[in-house]
Amino acid sequence: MIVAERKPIQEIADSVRKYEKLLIVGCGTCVTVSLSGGENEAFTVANLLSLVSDAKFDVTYVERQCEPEFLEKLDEAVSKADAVLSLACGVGVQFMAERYPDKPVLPALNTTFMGVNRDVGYLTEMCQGCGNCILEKTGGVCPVARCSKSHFNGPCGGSQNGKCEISNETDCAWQLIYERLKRLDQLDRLCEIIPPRDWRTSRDGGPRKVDRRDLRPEVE
Amino acid sequence: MKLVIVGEGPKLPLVKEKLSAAGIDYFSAANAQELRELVPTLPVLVYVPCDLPKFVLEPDYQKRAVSALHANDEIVFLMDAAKENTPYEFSLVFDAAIRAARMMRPVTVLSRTVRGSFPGAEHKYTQARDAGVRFIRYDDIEVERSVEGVYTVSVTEGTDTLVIETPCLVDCSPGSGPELLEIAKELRLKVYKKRYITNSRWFDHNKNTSRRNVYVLFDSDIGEDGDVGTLVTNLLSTQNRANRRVAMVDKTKCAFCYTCYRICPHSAPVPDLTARAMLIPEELCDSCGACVAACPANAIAWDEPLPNLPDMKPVLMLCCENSAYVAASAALDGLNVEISSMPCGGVISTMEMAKAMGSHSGILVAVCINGACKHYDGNLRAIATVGRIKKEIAELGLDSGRIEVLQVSGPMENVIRDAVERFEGRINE
Amino acid sequence: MKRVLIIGGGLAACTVARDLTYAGIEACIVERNSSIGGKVRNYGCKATGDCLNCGLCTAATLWDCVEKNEKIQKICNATVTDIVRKDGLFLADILSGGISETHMFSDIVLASGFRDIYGSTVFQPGVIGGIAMERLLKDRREGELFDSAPSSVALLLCSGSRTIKDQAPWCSRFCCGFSGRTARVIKHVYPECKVDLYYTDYQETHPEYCMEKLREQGINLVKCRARCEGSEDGRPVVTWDEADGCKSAVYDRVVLINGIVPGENNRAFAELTDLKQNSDGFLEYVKEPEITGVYLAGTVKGPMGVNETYRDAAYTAVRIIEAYKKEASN
Repeated sequence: MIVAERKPIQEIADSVRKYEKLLIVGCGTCVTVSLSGGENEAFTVANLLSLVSDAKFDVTYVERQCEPEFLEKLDEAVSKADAVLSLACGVGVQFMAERYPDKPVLPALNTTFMGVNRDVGYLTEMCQGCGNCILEKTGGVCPVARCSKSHFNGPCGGSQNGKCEISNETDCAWQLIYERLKRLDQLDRLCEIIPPRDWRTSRDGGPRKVDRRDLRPEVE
Repeated sequence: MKLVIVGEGPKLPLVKEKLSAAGIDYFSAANAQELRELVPTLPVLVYVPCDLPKFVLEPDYQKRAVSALHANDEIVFLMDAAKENTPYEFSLVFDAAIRAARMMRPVTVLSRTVRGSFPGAEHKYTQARDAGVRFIRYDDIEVERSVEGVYTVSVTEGTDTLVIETPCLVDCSPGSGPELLEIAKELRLKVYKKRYITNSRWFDHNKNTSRRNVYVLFDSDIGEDGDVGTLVTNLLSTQNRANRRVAMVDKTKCAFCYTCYRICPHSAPVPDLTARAMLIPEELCDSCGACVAACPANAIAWDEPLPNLPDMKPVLMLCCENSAYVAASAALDGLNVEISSMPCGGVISTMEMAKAMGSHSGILVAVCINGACKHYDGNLRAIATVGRIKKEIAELGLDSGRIEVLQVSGPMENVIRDAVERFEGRINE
Repeated sequence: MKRVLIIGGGLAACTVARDLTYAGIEACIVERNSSIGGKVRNYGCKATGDCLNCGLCTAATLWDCVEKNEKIQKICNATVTDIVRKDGLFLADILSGGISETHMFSDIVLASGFRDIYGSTVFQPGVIGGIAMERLLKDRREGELFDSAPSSVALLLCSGSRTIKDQAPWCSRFCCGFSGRTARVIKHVYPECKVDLYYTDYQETHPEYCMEKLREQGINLVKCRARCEGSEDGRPVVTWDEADGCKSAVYDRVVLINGIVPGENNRAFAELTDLKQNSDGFLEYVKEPEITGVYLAGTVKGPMGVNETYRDAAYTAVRIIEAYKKEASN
């Protein structure tokens, strides 16, 4: 899922300082699961801001801020506010901003990565959305997202005890790949060289899209 | 009524008989894997057998083993108390030593100290002595085993050393069973020194562990005839469940993120795959509020809300009802604080505390001492939450000393009074 | 009719009373002191950081619960002077405030506890008994346990237990745990203080206060039967025997850890209720209590620690409730 982290409270307080009526909107999907932007956090932010500001804070939430049908319910509340503080990921914030172009829509979160809940409250990065998945070649461990240097053909040699040289909390991805391929009896795959890739499928090619408009063809 | 029994051992058939006689059905799970596959809402009984060798526990085995020895071979029982045998285990070893001595063999019991606090200890000790058992206390020990299986044991006490050579060394030092540890891990039970599956509330009379629906039964709890006393009755009784609030999930808000499932100390939440939401069965909920505080979607609430936090006096004191509240209600007369009781320290959330800070100049959260939380880690969660709030309000430029956490127990009246007086004094500055 | 007389108002008595009311059975506590709580109410929590499982926090919630519970009648400053059976019930004479009244009960629970052998002893300065030490532990504050910081403390185990001479040949079962935890508290409050524990057999295997752990904390364990006799410069002297003669040491404080001896009224109760005194003086059943209607709970039966007493009392309550359920279904 998309993982985000709430911005430091002072940063949020500074960005909303000039507004007298603020609508704080939580999002019930990814950021709830990643414990940063659900209704609970929305109320927490409102309560914290109330300690240092006399502005009016209204709190609400929607299932997802990336679906227009869910946002419809907010129209009235938004119209009454001076600004909107969105606790959604970057997608939700932008989508809200598109829907309400005359209202400032401010982010309360820093969207970080696509990842997984390892344990309660501990989330780690798993996927970077490079657009060209090679997990089949690497035993199901992603060298793009989980190797600090995104090496495609083996470790850099800086790891110690299976941990990356940047931090002993980060696993060396190539260690994981090796162990996994060993268990799958596919160590010979390590001999296959993965060539330099065309990164246009990733962010480097500009904003991307997925076209499945075949689902609803245009009627002449 | 049904339950799951996990664990193997010689007294288990007796226990099962007693359960059946009381009308309790059971499923057996041999290991953690099987346990995982059984229905999570069933109560679990973890049977922890005594970890002594067969030579001690099985008289027939002992008889056969002894008859295979030469007439002069000494039988040596080694209780290396550096690893701490319990008094119950000592009583079993005494029995085995007496049996061996009655088979006309020289018997020696080696131990660093003798745990004689089991019932009838003195009499058994005398019996053993009369039967000819030799008791030797030592400070240091060295054991070597030859290729033919003969042990050379040298024990030292002060300046005296004794060397015994024997093919029959019965090592009664306690070991740890790996399956047991895995089961404990699966059930999220605390394990002391790799042997005691329990938590700090082990003394609770219904053999509870920290998990609401998990019971533990040691061999030493089982009477001669398999009587398990309180256990059976407490399994059958409904306990004092009246007027107890439980947690309820609002399915429309539940994000099915499993946060409550992972946090609940009592393994109460059950995923309802049809509704795609978590469900908390009333029978399993132990009313600790961990899920209510932790749910990121605010989807869990008490069926009967907690009383609103009062906002009258400048200092608010939030006390865990199992510890701090008892001390506070006895010790805080005359102090200008509002005392409010909570089912567990773990009930507090950043969200509520941030709000409460708006109406009080100071908040003191008083929870149980490490290891004493009835809900396993509620006190630790409270401490972490208070830490988080302090950080947030410090970032906003406010005084982080306005909220503090304190760990006390029920009898500690002076300690709590002193702490409150100090806190009050600081807030008023 | 189901109304249970509970003789005694301490830990065992209150636990039975409370558990009975959970099952809807009325209880009446008759306590000879002016309030319930027995000895345990004045015991102190021994945590120095982590919980040490002394069980007193569970007891702490109990007193409040019993005092507030209207289904439990509490008659304090009272004694039971006579018990007579009539038509399957008991008639008990309860003497309180000079007035004797007869009450009717279906069952009786004897939970009169044990005797503190040092209860009325006046020791030389610096010496206290185990139960007085508990009181100090309860009243302790941060950094303060004794009225002045001692530089040396001795704890003498088995003081009055395991002694044929003093007619208490049994092990009292709780003292090792008590002294181990207490030694830890003393060392925690006064880190510079020399803390010596004189023991015969140290029975505790709990990882937080087993011998290994105590030694780690800097507490000295001396295996011998020590006595406290005499004083030097007003400070108590501890003596013990070693292979090469008698040794002694002077301490600022000496704690005599006394064990459990039978309550002084055990004999009288045995006679009143057809129970039996065993060879150690504690009470035992002659016939199953479900038949006689007279139950026992707690240290009136024999030595047990706080946790064991709690469990024993709870089990007694369970037996009463089960017997009641059986009757009700017949």
